[in-house]
Amino acid sequence: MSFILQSHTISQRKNLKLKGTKTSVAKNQILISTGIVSLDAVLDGGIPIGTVTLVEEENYGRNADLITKHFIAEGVVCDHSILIADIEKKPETIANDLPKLIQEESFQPTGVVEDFKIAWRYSQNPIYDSKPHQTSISFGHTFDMSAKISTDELQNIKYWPNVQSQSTSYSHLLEFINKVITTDGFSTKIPVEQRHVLRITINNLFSPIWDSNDMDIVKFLYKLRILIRSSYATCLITTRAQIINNIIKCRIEHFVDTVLILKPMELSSCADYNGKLIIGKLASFNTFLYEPSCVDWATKLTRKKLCIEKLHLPPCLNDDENNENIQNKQLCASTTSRLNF
Amino acid sequence: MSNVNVLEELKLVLKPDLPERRMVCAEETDTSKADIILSFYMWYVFNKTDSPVCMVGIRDTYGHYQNVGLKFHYNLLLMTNKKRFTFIESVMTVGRLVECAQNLLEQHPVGNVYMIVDDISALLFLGEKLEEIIGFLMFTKRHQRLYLVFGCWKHKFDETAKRLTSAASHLADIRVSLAPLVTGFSNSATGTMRITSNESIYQIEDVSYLYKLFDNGLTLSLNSKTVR
Repeated sequence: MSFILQSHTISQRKNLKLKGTKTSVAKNQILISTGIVSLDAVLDGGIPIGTVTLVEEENYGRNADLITKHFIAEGVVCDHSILIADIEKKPETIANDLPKLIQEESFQPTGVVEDFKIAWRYSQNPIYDSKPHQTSISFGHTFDMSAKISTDELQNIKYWPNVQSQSTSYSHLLEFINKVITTDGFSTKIPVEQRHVLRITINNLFSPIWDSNDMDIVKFLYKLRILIRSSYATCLITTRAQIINNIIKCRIEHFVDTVLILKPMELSSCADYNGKLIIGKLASFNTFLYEPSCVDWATKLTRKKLCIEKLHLPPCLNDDENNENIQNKQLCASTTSRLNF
Repeated sequence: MSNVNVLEELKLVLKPDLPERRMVCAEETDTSKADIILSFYMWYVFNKTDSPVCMVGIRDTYGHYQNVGLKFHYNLLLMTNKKRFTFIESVMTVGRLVECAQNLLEQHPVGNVYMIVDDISALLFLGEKLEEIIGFLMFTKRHQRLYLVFGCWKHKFDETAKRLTSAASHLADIRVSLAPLVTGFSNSATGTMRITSNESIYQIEDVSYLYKLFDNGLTLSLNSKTVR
């Protein structure tokens, strides 16, 4: 009977009108926002409900942490239920450090550009926007990282591990998630009057602190995915890439739906960006397509915002010319020094 | 090129009507998925034959295949109501797979039956032994009425998965290898599809396509064809 219920709810999902979601008709998916508008555009609209997203970060960056906080903050604004699981630090500290909602900047198409006085030949060229192309009206919100959401606004948040948690094992977390999904009406197999969305974040997966004696991480992800598939929930997992060996990493990536890899920016000439974003794969849930349209993305972190832009490499200048110029400057400097008197 | 045209072209190459092509291995490399091949076989069975199909969804759910099937012009819900399609999910052991195959043969004592497994390598990652999975493939080979189409994943870092895929594709009558482009991304191709079949011990047919996936289907363009 379960598959009949599932297909029935899939066809009716478009009529569900879940708050804070939008339907992708082409892909037959219901999407939720990540909380970062440019990241939603990179992911072709958002994260589909019923999928698991893995964010791998290399070399102790903080972008994964920021993506998690934006994801939770978006859930708070959209009245979604939230479950925060973190084994390395208290999950309550994450909830107390969420960015605050600011008024969305209304998108105004650029009008007529004022005339160029010097580079007038380029006035007819189209303006190139580095931001990811937004195919439809964005349904996400914009947040200010320099301000925090007050704890009074935080509702419907569950934490794991909590006081009643007896262990910090994968099986125990899976049991807790299963209980939340079945008892709070997020399962597609149990009909309820009003549907809501559940956002789950699991931080620092594969940390050495996890107890993996009764269930290893691969089995945990497989069972988690099955659980999330048959529910109105989405799971965002973060992990540090350098602590996972290659075999486990490729198996983990095989079992999740979306893979985002955050790497540090190695090029000193790209100082505007603080890291690179590589899309390992996109969710092919209810559709064939799983490849990203572009792979060259970079993260830009300012005091208030984290945004994703297309990575443009600066022009590669000839090294010999540079050295010659520097030497010439030095010679000039020595003959025209103000100290020569 | 509409989806039906693509499917008809694939039918000419894969020749699913031949009795000696009972076991089909769809190899997945890295991020590529065998859904298109599994969906092709389901399209063929539902539209060109009257055989029943039992699908074992180890990786994806019924809803995913229903939506994908609608893009390929067949309706799994309709087939389920006609008693031609059954879906079994959350199978995690080889024993359960064998049980599904035996049940399928018992429920349909006459005629050919089709069993489709979306990702047999997942059983390996869930703790099953490689020998037992190969044992299941040998078991299906012994039953003349049972046609098996399965997906098998491999990655350059995972030696065990590579061993399973090599063994499974060696046992299969026809191999379809899907791989992403090695040199990077392209707007005109998602990856390569290589179809290898043994016509006889003296003749191996090898056809390579470049395939491009869209939200609602795919296109194929011939890359190369060799007979050796």
